[in-house]
Amino acid sequence: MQSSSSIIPNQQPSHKSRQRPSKKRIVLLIVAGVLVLALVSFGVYTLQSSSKDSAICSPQLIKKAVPLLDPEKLAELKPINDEILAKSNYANDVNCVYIVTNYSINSSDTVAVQRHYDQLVKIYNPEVGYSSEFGNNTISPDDVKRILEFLKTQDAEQNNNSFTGPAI
Amino acid sequence: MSRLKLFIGLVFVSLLWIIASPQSTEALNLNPDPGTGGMPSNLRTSLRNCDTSGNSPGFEQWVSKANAPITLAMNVEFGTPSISLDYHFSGAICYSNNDVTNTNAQISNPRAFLDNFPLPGSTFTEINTPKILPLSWGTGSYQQVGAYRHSKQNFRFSPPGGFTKSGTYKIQVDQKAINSFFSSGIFGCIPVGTASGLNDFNSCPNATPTFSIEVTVTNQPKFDHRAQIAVRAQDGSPVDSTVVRGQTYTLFPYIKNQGPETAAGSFEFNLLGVQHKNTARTEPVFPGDGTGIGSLLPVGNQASILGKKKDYISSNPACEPNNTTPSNCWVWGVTNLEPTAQADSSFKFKVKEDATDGQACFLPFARRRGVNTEVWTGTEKCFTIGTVDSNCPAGSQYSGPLAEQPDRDGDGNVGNDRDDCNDPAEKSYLSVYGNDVIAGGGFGSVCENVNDEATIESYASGSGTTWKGASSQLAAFALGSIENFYTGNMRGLTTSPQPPLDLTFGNTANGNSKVAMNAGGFSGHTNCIPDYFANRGNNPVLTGDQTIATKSIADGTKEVLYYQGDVHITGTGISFNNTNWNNIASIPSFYLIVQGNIFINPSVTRLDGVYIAQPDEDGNGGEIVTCAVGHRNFTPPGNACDKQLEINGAFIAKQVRFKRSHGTLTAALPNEGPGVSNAGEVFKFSPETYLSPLNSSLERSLPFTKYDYITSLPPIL
Repeated sequence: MQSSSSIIPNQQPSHKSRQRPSKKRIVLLIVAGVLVLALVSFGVYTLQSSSKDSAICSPQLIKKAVPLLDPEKLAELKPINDEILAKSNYANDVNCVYIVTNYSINSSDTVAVQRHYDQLVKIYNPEVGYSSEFGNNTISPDDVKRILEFLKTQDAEQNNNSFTGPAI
Repeated sequence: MSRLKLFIGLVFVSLLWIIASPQSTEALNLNPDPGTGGMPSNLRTSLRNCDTSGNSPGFEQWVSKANAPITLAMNVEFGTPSISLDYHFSGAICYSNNDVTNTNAQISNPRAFLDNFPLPGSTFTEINTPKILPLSWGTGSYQQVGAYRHSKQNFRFSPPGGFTKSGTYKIQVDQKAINSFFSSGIFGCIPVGTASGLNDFNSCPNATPTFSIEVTVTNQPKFDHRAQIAVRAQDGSPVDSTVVRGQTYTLFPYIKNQGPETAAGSFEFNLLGVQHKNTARTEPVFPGDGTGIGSLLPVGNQASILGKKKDYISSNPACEPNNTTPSNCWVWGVTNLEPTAQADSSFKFKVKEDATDGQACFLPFARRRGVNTEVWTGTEKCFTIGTVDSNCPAGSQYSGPLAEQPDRDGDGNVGNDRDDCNDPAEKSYLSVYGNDVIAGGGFGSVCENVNDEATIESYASGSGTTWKGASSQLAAFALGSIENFYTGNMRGLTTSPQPPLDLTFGNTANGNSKVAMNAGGFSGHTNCIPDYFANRGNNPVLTGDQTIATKSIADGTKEVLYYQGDVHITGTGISFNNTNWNNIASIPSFYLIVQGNIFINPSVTRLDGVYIAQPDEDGNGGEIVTCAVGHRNFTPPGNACDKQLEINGAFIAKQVRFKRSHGTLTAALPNEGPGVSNAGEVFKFSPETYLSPLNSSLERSLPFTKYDYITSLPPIL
């Protein structure tokens, strides 16, 4: 009996030693956890950064701008155009660029159309297009390019219709 | 010396200062200033520098989107019919002491181009008539350099078919401008000339400024699914502007293919209906209650197309019916079950004799199934029916107030003549020289199918001895009546026989004809005509409908053609190569022998030889129609038949319909000869017709041993 009883105590320490994690293992687990947290944080941060760039012009701003894309409302669109241009990263948001492109087209500003066209072709994704707030009657970068060529031509040709009165 | 150096130094420095000084690019301040939003910036800059031109005032003009003076590029949704634009005319005083107090510009005659190609059919409102754009400087304003004035004219621009294509649309106008001078009271045209007033543009030179706008068509479907409709006459010829009462037409609905999506079976369409409308109503063409302008012909299941929404299925791209331009094709096909032949895609209708006034407009609808359930209105196609005048009887080929009808029957009466409502062919004007005219006879030795009421009906007028119009130089025989056709033309009054009756041999009492025609009444004379077709021997016969294009007959040719079916003669006709021959053997002969009808196209102006149209065993056919399109008795409306037809030979037929409308009796002369005849058809039967050697198939045995049966000379000439 003693021997058996003596055996049991002898076995307990060995059982305890298998369940207790080593200090080294604990450290490794902590490091891995930190790494996972860091990666997750980085991913979230990246996603947030990305979404921040693509939504520089808020849906509210777009909704406000859409009815003013009519050339007859050029003056009303101007504050929004200026507001967008004041954003340092507006060129990263296709919807921002679309609004200012329309403003420059409606005002026949060839230089601005050229600038915004260059911005548009860099970020426009035909699979995504523009915000649905703009509806179906949007113009593509190809359309903008054609309009740009037209405006360049017009700058040279419009004066063909100038004339003056009699010599004094 | 030092002073000289100092002077030279000062001059040098001054020159450097002058050279280095920035040039002034905007010398004038416009007042009032249109600003950057009031006119295109380059034009504003140009106007502010107009003091470099030496002339004053300076003017700028441009076209912009309406109420958006600096917008030159605009978006429109696909199919938008028109856009509103502004024409701007502005100016500025470039120098003081130029005493122009008013400047008016006139614009007119707008026309459009798309990508430098003309756009015929474009319409403009407001500026479709001359419009004046005034600039009023006011007395004394000419002293104020930079004084600015602006005027604009709004208008709508509608390209044909609406806006379906993006591009540069150019609008060009005729423009004239006049200055009014305060000190001299002179009205000076710009750039040169004088006028009697500020709006007297007639004496001023014309300029043609061109303005460009850029239109982007948005929401453009890859596939133009708007239904179209083509209308064709019975002979297949396209109908463009007019439908005629009593005539039958075929409607071809189809879908125009403008995009790349032409894969078989990719798209399906429903034809939802076709409408007729006029100013008072819009309704189905065939409403089913007997109203409407047309009646749908109950041929096969064609009638079901309007009520059962047949499917349009774009199978293989095919051309519009009869379209010969391969690049201009359409996707079509209509069937309940599957794509079938073209004939199933059409349906026929007949314009009622008493069709209502106004236009017949066919407005098809289509619906693209499975992709977009929206109903798309097609392109409307309108045709004029004309207005019905009570004096023009229902069923007239032409209609409308009599006073507006031309003198179609040539009697000199306009405004109260019911005959003017009808085709001139209803009152034929033909002249026959060198032989008689005979009506009433039968083919074969037993004179089959003799019409003992055969008449000669045409149009002649006159009194005393000054008769003119349809006539024969020699005699006229008929088993029935002879109406409005006189004989003895060119005889004059000196000796008998005299026109109009002395050589007229009819068989009825005089009716209401203008020429009394019963001389020699009840003669009982009959004429048997050889059965040319039956006597053809072993000569080949072409069966079915045939067409004979322009044909020349060489000297010495003895040609005879046999046809069983209808023959359509097209081109300029059939003619001998020469008109003079040295011997009889050289004289050609040509016989066209048809068991069927002979239809002569309006383009044909000359036929040499003998033309025979016999009926078949059942009595069908046997007609010669002198103006017809295709293989059917369809006379095209309008002036299509106004070419004179010269026949150097003879016609033999069961019936001849003289449809040419070349001349009028108003222009006809009494006793006119063959060289000056104004008739629609002029027969010149010269001896060559019976002198020329005949083809052996025309040699006859008893009882026809001679071939001068068509030259029966009148008994007293």
